[in-house]
Amino acid sequence: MPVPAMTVPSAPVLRAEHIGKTYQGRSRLFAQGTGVTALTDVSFEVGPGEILGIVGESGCGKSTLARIIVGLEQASVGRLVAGDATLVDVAEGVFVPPAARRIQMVFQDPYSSLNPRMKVGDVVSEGLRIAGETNRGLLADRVAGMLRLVGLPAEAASRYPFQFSGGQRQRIGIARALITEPRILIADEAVSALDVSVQMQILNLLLDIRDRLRIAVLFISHDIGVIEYLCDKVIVLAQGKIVESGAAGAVISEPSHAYTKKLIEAVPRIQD
Amino acid sequence: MHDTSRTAGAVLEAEELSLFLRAGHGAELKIVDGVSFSIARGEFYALVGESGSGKTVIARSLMRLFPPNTLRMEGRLVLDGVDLTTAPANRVQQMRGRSVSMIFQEPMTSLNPLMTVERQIDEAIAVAGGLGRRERRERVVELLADVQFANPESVRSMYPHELSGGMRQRAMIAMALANNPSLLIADEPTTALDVTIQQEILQLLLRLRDQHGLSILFISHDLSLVRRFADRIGVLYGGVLMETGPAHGLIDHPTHPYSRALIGCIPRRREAGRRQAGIEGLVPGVADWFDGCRFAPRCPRVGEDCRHGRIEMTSTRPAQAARCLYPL
Repeated sequence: MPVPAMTVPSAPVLRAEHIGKTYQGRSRLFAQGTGVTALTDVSFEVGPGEILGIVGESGCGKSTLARIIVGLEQASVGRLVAGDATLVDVAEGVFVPPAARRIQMVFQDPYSSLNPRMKVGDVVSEGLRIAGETNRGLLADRVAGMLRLVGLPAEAASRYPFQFSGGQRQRIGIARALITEPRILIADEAVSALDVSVQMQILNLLLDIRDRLRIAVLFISHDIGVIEYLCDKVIVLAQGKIVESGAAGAVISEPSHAYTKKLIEAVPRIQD
Repeated sequence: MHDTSRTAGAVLEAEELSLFLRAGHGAELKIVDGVSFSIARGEFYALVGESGSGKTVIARSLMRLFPPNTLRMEGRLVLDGVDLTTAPANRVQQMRGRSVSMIFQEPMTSLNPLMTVERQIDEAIAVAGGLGRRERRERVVELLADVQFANPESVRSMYPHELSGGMRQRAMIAMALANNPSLLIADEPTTALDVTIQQEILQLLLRLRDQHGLSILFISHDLSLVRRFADRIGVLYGGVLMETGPAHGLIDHPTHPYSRALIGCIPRRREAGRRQAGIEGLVPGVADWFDGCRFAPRCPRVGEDCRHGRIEMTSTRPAQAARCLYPL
């Protein structure tokens, strides 16, 4: 029997508290002691099975935020808590390395994010092999299971990435991300490079995966229509700060911040 | 005698245009298959389609941006009264810039990073000849003002890396307009830009159209964008023009099943968790084209007669036509 999600407020899968990032200017182009501030006081929560959209234009800090969450970049200030584990606490000197965070990414360009010389099966199983799994039979089973989950035939494992279309490659990228059973999936412009008919297939796949695995998804995009279709909640970033946040439908249909209004008005939509 | 009344005022007219690219060993691939459309003076016409639909090949054939002997054209493609399918190369060369010019998706890669904005625009003006140095300098400033640089005098001496993406695209437009072409081809000119800048560039194109009577052939995959800005739209699929009509009419009331499916793929708000369907299957590759309607294998309304022979364009709504035996 389905349990209404709202009755029991579940603990957030990920909580970001006052994340800030300043790049120290090494060159003399910048006055001494100052740097470039990429993020200021970014806080949000994502629950299990929730899709959080992160919207903003180029340079707003959305990719820096993703890199900090996944651990490719160190925050200058703030805390990052996943479930009951503290991943980052700058004040306390806590920094959990990326491989131990159980956070995976799917990238924008399905053509350049897969190693062309590796068979799809090896691409997908790499995360498990890095984690120390050597049993070939078990690896093959897990790969077949993942390929099935993302809607690809099991034979795909023995082929190379160039034999697949853009949408199929993005499915491979999702299978690769999910095989290590992450608690959080970060999709950075993961459908921007795809044709619209294929884009809709991948968006529906992400919804299916969210429903089946109850995984939390951070979906970074500049596309308001995609955010509106996919996301439960949204944060709008401008110059490294959250200017607006809330339920996706409410923020997009009734934006309260002037920047969000401008952003939404600039996007032509069919239901205009 | 060709019926001229229908084409009066047409800057560009494609009639049963087929394009073939030569792949090695004398083999040829048909990339575009019997496409007909026309663009009137001052009209903003958009060709939309997914990757592999042939939209970019049509745009580039107008500029003949292919190595010699790789492109073969059949049918007619008449620009400013000259049939490009039969015109000699030097005639086409003369028309580039004057009759037709083009802007591209990534302005940074289309501008020379070692030349100032002024030198690049000046080069375009000088090619046409006839103007002295001082006149050309004045023309550069005039063009920069035309594309709405607030301070053309200072932009003149800048290098591309000093400009933002939107400014680079405007510099490209200034260059393209240097010799007052009748037709501007814009191949996904705003895809790489932020949405607010995209809006600015499109407003600029509309203003240039209104002021100079410029015709625009806009190549895009973005249906919502063309609905807002284009006058008419042609929907391409697998090298075939599937449907054509007024922008709002076609997108609000598509009559070809492919157009409807494509429009249905544009993400909207999900009312009560309802999913939108994508289109199952894949766009057919040029090497695997088949007889009949190219959309037949993915079409929900397909009938047995869709799978062979040639399907003609038929009128489906006022000013709208679809290449379909079972239109909506």
